[in-house]
Amino acid sequence: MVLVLALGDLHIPHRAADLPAKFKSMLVPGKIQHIICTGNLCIKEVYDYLKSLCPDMHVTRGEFDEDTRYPETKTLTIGQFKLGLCHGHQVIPWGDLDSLAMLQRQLDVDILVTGHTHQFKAYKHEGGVVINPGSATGAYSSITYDVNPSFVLMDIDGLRVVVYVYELIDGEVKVDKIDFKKTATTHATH
Amino acid sequence: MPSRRRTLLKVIILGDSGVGKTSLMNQYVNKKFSNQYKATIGADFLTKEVQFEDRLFTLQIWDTAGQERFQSLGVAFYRGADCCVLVYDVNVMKSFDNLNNWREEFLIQASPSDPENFPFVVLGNKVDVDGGNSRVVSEKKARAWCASKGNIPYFETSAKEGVNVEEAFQCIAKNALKTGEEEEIYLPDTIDVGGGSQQRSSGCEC
Amino acid sequence: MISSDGIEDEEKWLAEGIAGLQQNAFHMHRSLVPIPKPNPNFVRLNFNSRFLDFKFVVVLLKDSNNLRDALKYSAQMLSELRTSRLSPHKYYDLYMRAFDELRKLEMFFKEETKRGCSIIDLYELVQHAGNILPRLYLLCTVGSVYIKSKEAPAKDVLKDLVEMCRGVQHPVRGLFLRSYLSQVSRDKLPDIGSEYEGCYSACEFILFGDPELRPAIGLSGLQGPAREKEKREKERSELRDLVGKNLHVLSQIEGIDLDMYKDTVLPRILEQVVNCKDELAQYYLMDCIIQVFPDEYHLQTLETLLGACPQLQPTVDIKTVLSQLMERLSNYAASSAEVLPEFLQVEAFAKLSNAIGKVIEAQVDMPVVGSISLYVSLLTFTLRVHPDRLDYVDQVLGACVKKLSGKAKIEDSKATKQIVALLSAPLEKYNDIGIALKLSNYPRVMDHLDNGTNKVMAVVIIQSIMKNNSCISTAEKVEALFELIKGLIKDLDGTPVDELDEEDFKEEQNSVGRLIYMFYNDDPEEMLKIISVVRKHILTGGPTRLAFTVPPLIFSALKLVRRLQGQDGDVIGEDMPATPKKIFQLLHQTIEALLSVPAPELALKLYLQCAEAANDCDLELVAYEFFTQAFILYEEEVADSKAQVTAIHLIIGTLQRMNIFGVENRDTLTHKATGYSAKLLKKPDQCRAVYACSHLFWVDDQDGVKDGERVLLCLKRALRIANAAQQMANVTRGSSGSVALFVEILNKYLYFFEKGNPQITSSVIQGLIELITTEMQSENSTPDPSADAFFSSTLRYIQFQKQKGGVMGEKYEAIKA
Repeated sequence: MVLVLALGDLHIPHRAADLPAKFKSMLVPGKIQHIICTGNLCIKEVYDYLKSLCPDMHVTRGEFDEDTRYPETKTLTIGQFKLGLCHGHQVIPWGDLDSLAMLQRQLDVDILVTGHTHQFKAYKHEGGVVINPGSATGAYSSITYDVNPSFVLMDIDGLRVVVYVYELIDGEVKVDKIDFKKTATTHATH
Repeated sequence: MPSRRRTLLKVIILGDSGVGKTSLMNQYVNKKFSNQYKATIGADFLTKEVQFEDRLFTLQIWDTAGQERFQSLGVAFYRGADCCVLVYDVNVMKSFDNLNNWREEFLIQASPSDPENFPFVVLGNKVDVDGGNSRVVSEKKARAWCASKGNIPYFETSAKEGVNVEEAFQCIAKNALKTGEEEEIYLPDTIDVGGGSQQRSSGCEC
Repeated sequence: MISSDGIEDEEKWLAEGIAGLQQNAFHMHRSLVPIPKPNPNFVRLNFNSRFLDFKFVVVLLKDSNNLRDALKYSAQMLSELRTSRLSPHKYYDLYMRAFDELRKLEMFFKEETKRGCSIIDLYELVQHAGNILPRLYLLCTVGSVYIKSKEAPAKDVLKDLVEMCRGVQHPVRGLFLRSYLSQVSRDKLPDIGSEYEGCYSACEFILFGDPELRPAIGLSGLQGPAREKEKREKERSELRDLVGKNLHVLSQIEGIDLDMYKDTVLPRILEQVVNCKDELAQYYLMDCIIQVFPDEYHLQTLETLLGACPQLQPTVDIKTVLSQLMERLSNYAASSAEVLPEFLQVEAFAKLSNAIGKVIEAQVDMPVVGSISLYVSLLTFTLRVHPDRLDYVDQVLGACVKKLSGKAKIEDSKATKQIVALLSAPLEKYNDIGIALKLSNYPRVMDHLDNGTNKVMAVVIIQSIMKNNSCISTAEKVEALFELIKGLIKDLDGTPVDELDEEDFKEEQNSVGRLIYMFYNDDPEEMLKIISVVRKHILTGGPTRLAFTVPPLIFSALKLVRRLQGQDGDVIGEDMPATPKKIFQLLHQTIEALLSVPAPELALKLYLQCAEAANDCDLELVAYEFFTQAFILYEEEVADSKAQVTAIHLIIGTLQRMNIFGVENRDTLTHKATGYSAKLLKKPDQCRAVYACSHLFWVDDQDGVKDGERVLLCLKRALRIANAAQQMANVTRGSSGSVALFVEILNKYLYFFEKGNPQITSSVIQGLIELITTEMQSENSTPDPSADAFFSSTLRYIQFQKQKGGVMGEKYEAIKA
């Protein structure tokens, strides 16, 4: 069982002061094996904080990130899954599923994690799984109205990944989960 | 009629300022308690006659200043103690943490002949405060510490309510007695032990 | 008294003294065997023992050798205490040993009297010991038994003993002797409720019974030549507990109630303290009084106690005394809510406040740190005892301001630490910045801090707000807050930013940014006012700060716009209600300020954000204006090629979502976008930007533009660029570049193919597939595993779509992968 935290678009301090307290109390160091962050942290303090939760952290560049040296995309293998990470402002039209599918093919990954729209999404299509963890702080977005703070926790176990999404709605943390299974033979997830 | 050989037993009470040393002593000796905090200066004692088994003896209980600046003369009065009582406040963690310091300091300063077996008794005082809700040192923790230091007897007390005070001092007396008996014999190296006191017919030493 | 030979000598003398003492004690013990009773040879004499001839007594007691020996050896033992060679600390060691031995002797005396020996005779007998000191110790020991026997009034015996002890003038020996008397008679002191009479006598005994107390307090006998001053002071310091103990004994006497304390005890003690005119003693004794007597007493005698302070020697550290008193009272207040009314009743605050004022006035040379720490203690007290009285709190701060005014800014680090403590206290107590903002003197205190500390304090304030998640909801409060933290907002005094570490500066400014998110009000009018206030202040920050502070403001404003969406209104007039248009004007001007930093890329991004927001508000012209500004920046300011790529993608992405533009405006903008895309420096970047532009002409919405031709045009252009890139690679490296771009373009073709762009047919796609395949297989090609993988997954995708069947399957029918 490998736990992967996926989050992004915190936009601290441009659009939010801090992570919601309820999220902070849930995110305890030592429990998570990997963190993948879509980008737009935006400052080093946030980077350091996330690093303290888990040293194995991967970040891609968001357009407002202070550090411009983060990579545009990143791929990594966790267990049986290949994951791809990209902020998403580079993929036009923004939030378009088919364009994202193209990125997934381009990176040749089972699970693609992108952000930018601040809207949580997790769905499966022929190429694989696409996840958008939303904005962990519920930051303002020109694309999405009424953003609720959210983040995703993936539990990767063999050929199966369970995606838990945590959303802060009206002050309460609500959790939902989605299951995905991968066939052993090909890259594609059915 | 019980034999009435009298013995003087010296007991020292140590602990941080404000834990209740003076109150415990007052409760035991005078059966009185006052809520008002009055700091102790230097060291002073009260005596109480106690009967234990078939013997009568005098317990000389020394109350000490918890605040360091009120011990300007030092701790020479530790010497000759038969038992040492360590007191802490169950609602103040620091006072428990300091017990170790008090114990070690005492052993260094008093230099008992058998430090390994010198009797201590620990009192966790003020168990009555706020119905026990502001308590921060658990009984388990205290007992564990006492056990680790040679099975020191432990009592949970309330000087205010008079809870366990009598029992604690009974135990203190008992432990002091053990040491007291062992320390009675004194042999100076240069004195001839052979003779008794000589009778003199007249004259005094002026 | 103590020679300068040093400690080793003292150790030697102490050892000798102990040896002598132990030796005599041993013999004394052996004599303490009880005399068998009744002894027919022992006759009780009934006449006045005071005139008894010693010889006669000896004859009488000739069979009582034990008693005689006991007295002899005990006297010898006590002679060791006649030494002048020991420091008080070491003397105490010797004293305690003698003390322990005398307890046994006392018990022996007690036993003896129970067996019929006359206590009065004993009392007489011991007075015949040779030297004064041993005699007096023995006398006190017997005296203790005498009192308990009640054969004479306790008062009389004590008086007698005190009289006789006066004979010992030497300070150290005398103090210890008196201490001994006090100790052995303590639990026999005349006490109400105990067996003896009159508690007044007890006080007398302790306070007045010892006329030596006055010099003893000052320990004047220990004055000596200046070179030995240090040693003298050390000795006095060691001896002080003997004097302090008397106060402790007093406090333990039950019969002394508040009235007696107030009317007699305290005034007399204070009289003695003041009259001894010795700074060390005065300080110590005031400390003792405060510690040894209960808090209620202090409250009820506050005026008297405080009244003594100005009468003490000017060098006494009175501020520490006052601080300790306040600390004690603060703790008392915190211990139970029931005692609080008492504080009010005695007007504790006023009295303490006055006393402190007087002390500060009187001690002109007191360093600033001293007076500030006094105020800190007073403030702590006030916050505990009168938390609801903001006027008191403000008063304390005001007194501080008065003290600080007229002086230069504080340099002393200890003093600044104290001021930070002073200012932090209300924050910690109330956990609500709103309250601190109400204190009129709060900003005035801050004004007196040097710039560095001002900033430190500002950070403390921000941290307090963040920690408590406080929401600041009015423009007025925001204004007041910015006044307080102005050290962070701008350069004070026109001095440039000091050599602050870059990291620290960033952190500082980011915390200001975060702070802006703590300002919120449901009412849009008020919110707009807040935003205006914030804007006003951050614009004074200068180029170094704007990049940090402007973005939070912009987004805060955009959030407000979203709330107001759907409202129209004119811009003119300050009094008009908040409208999106008004806010966009504000935003425009604010973003402009970023150009002075210069931060063109950031400004560009923010313009685009505003454009989108304007689009959502149906403000075509405003949106167009924002785009114009973005393009201008792109043209003139964004020079870095990587930044250009990002910028152009953002422009394309934003433009793609615009639905507000009329045909002309839209055309102008898309034309510009595609033009810039084609002019990017690197060919691959050009290619990608251009095919991204294809989306500008196809929006999947119901009424979105769907211009198939122009889409195709873009894609073809992208292909041309990809080709050119291949050729360049051939020329420069001798082998053709990767096919990656072609695969990407292929995917774009597929995208529009699926969307139903009539211009894109399956044969077009087929052609592209074959082109790529050929390229990949050619000898010249550069192997690129990721491009290969991409191509494979693309082909897989095509297969998958074919197998889907239905409409999609049909479409893909013709394509052979």
